[in-house]
Amino acid sequence: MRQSPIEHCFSQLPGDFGQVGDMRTFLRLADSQAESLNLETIGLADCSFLERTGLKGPLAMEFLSSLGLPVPQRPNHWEPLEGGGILMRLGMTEFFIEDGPSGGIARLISEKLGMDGIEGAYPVRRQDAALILCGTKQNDFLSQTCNVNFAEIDEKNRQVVMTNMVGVSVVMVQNKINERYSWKIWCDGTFGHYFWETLFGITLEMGGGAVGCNRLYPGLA
Amino acid sequence: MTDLSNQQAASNAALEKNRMARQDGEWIDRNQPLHFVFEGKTYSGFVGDTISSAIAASGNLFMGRSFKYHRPRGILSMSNHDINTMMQDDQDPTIRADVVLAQNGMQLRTVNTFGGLKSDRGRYMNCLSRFLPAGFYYKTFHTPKWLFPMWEKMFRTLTGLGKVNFETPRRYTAKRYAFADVLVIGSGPSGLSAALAAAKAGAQVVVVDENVRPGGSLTYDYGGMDESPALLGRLLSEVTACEKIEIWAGTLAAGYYSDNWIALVDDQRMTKMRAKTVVVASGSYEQPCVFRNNDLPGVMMASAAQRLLRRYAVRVGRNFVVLTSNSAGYRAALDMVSGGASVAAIVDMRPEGELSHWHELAAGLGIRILAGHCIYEAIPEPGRYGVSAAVVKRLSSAGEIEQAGGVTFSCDAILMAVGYAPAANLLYQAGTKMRYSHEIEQFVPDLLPESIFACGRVNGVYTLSSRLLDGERAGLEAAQKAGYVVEQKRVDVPAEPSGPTHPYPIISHPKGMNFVDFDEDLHLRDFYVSVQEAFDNIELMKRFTTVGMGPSQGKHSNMNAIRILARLKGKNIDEIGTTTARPFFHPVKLSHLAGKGFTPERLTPMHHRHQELGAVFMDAGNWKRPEYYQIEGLSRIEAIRQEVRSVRTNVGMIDVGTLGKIEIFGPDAVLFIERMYTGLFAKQAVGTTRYALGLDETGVVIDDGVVGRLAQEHFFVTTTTTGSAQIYREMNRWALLWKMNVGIVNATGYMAAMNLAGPKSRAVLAPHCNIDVSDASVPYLALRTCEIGGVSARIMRVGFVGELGYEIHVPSEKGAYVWDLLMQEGQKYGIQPFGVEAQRILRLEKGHIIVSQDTDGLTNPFDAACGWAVKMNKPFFIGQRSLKIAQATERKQVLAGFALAENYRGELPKESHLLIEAGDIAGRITSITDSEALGRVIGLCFVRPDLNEIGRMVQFRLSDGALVPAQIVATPFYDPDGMRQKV
Repeated sequence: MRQSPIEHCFSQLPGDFGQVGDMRTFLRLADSQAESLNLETIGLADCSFLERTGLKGPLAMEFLSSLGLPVPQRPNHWEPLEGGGILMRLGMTEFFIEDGPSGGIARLISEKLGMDGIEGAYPVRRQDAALILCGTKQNDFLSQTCNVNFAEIDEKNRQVVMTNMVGVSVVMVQNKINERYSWKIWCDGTFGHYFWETLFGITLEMGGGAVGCNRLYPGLA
Repeated sequence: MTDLSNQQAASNAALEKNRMARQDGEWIDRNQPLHFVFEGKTYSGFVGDTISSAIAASGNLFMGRSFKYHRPRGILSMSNHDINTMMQDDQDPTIRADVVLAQNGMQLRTVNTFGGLKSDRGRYMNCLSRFLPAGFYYKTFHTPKWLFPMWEKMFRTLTGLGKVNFETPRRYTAKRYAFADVLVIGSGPSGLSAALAAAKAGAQVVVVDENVRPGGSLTYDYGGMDESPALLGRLLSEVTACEKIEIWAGTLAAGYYSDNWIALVDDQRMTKMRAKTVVVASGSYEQPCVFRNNDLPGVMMASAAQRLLRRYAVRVGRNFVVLTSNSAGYRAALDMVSGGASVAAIVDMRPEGELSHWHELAAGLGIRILAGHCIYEAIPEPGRYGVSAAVVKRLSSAGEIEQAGGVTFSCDAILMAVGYAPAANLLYQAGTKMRYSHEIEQFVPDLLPESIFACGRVNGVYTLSSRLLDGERAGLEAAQKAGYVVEQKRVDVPAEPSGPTHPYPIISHPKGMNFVDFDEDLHLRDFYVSVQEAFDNIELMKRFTTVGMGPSQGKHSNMNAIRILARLKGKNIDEIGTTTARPFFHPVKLSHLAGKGFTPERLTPMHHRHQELGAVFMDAGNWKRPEYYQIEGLSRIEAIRQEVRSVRTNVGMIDVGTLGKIEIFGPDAVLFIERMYTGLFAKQAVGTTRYALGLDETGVVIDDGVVGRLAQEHFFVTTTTTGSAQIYREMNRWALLWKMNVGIVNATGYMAAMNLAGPKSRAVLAPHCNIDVSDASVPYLALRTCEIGGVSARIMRVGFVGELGYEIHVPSEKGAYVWDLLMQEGQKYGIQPFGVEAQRILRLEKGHIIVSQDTDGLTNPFDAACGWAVKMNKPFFIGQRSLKIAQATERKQVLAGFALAENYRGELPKESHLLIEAGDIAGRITSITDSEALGRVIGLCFVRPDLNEIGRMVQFRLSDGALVPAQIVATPFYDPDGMRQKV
């Protein structure tokens, strides 16, 4: 029933879709050799199927701690969650949670907050387009699309980058996904079509292209 | 290409007569010959040759025509400023032949000629030159007026350089961002020295240089010896071994912007460099001497001849005269001799001549040296395509020409080495305060901005050993500023023994043609005229004469213009000042500036459903919205009318996901909303909505929407489509200023929304909604949370289009699902999707305003007839104080409804057409439509308050001046009691 904000971007790509959770998701390119090449050079995948939510407010941090979650102590940093998820602190009092394929924390938080939130912690219903950027040409790619000096960002520090990429506000973290250093990038889903098409065009120019989610999260469907 | 091949063999030997034998340090690859055509003639060269160097190798120095007088011109600088040798190769109309590499198969022709280079019909302009002084066109063509189009056409034909080829395909040039601790601009000796010093201190360094190879003057200024190439070799091997230094050759630093953001332009793209510190080691521009016929092919900067000699192994003449005022001229003479040429004379403008060892070396070679002399004029060869001699005269101790006597030297090339102007454009752009140094006759940095450093020639340092030290100093200071610990090593740079630049290298001649600006064909007399006409400060002189406004942007003319003006006005150079250097200081290809088009656009989750339904999209801010849905066999207007009809009589659905949606939580939420909007919300019941009007602090209407109360401390607010980002930002700003305990969440992107409207909308919604949607349960203006098809949703009974309707908000990811569900159910009732145009008609029939269409940047709520939505008795809301003042002030306009006669069949007035009363403007139309439901044309207009009487007749003026009568009427036009939306 959920629809990825960029599902239609894959309509012309030869490959397989599958149902992941309740979202139709692009799983693999028909040409697995080309997909491997994209994965190695510069590849882009849609992982919007992952469950995510957010919250903000003066007591948001206490609320997350009360759930026993590892809350980043510094603004603009993240911590890993069980099941491959991620808990990001955006600024001082806003948090963004995305589950891994097998997590359920985002849904739990949404349910606990309800529609109206609780005292000092208010729900932010994230419906982002979520992309993964991988491959050896990541830095070249990023230098064309974003004015952040990524060379200064060390993956071990678990920094969250909030910036503007090709004119769209994004949240980014560098993470190891299926043993590959990759960038996860989230943007407002209503920009998703433009965002994907623009980035995808650049990957093609750089000798890469789309990658199915199965390559990054094997065994999805 | 076949012709080209056939001619190759014959051309090689003949066309390479000025090419010397292979030499160390040359930039050409002799194993890769190439051939190209220039002006119908085939030329040979090697990979690495520039176009100019390859043509010069053939012995031809005549490569172009001047802009105004079409005089023969040739090489001047060989450093990217040779405007008179610009060429066109089909799609590229502005090839700078002095630096653009020659390529096999090029088909080049010169720009700015009529009928080819030699037989240019424009060459007769030279005979008319005495009638065409600078500024003549300001006085000549304004009367009679009727002739002006002819003059304009003639000038458009005569002027301009290359011709744009409109078939040129669009190039998507990527931009990129880059970063460095220290950016060094210029890879001459001082730049390389700075880079090494900064890198040794630990900084990450990027060195950029516009030349295709690093080294600056070390690559050509040899002085007949091997010191320069040996030094360059040492520096480059150190740089190459240093991992912290990157050299970007062929990259021009073209503009400086705030916070060390520098535009770097190479052949392929523009790089946006952000550097912690910048070392400007950009060197200097060698300056010409002004004397009669100084523009002949064969008269050039000494450094141009040296570049040709050392980089391309091209000797531009066999017998030179060198005009100089510094040691560089002597070194150039020695270089020419070492290249196998002879030097007839070194003409030194300084009374004392050269005092260093360079004099002895030159004299030792038997070169005649004349101190205290100048070149009075160059004598052209027949046809004026080159130089045949130089007339040399003595200068008095006061620097005046002694007319009597003189010597004439036969020569085929004249080299000018009379000084430099600093390449300080980037320093100026960075905010450097410059001062004129009379010691070295040059502008030098006086006060540099923090994190900007200068070294080498641009810093007024010319001696080679001093340039290395100056670079080291700047590099260390830059590294330290970038945060690296530098052992405090003081680098002392000795003062320059003397300046290389002559204070006034300008020789007057009664017959003129002593050029100051080679781009614009300005000779000395033009500057006298300018001052005579009282255009006597540098900015006015620039505009009157156009000095410095050509493609080289005054790099060879501005300094001499300043010197001339200073002398004519009897002032110091400092008092004259300089013109403004704005980025980019050197032309950059438009394709590089345009780059890729990063223009974000937003789509709602139902966008592809609209596509399938035949939507024609329009832009609304950065959103794409269906304007209407195309129906086969119907015109646009018919399709829109059918959509309107469907809503009025049946059921329709519009995607309103583009509306701004903001959630406000917290104990202060209600107080916050009271302050943000003009209405009363304190007592608003949970589960209801109210109209919300937002003002700025001046009381001007900036947005409107709906405030829905979901819980005591939870509100859901909608804004206009284009206003959402601004309103969200303003809300956050005010919340901070007011220190309120609220949480503000922008839900615009994560909520899809649709408005199901029409008499049958309830029937469509009811089967899929888990709550009773009857009027009793969900009355007009109610807000409810529910599930539609299992999806959590918010529904609001609002009446923007004036019918029973439900505005439905659901999570974006499920928007398309709910849309499909309702469209499917609606099939039973003939549902029709409707677009923005139909909605505009529907709302206008109800008299509802659209902010920014029916209001403007000065409209307050009273002007917009929205006073009912303003509760002035509240303690505070944004804009309230301004409205109190506005209430006490006489209004100038008010929004009113109008209608044309029921039987009106003429041309419809349009939005912005004026309301005319007694010949004066008394208002304007803001919205107008031909309403099928009402059977007449209706609209809203601003009208003078004294005309705002129901029933009063007014007139609108059409574009052709015809007047259309209309009547002021009450709004709403349709269903004035609102009964249709309250069922």
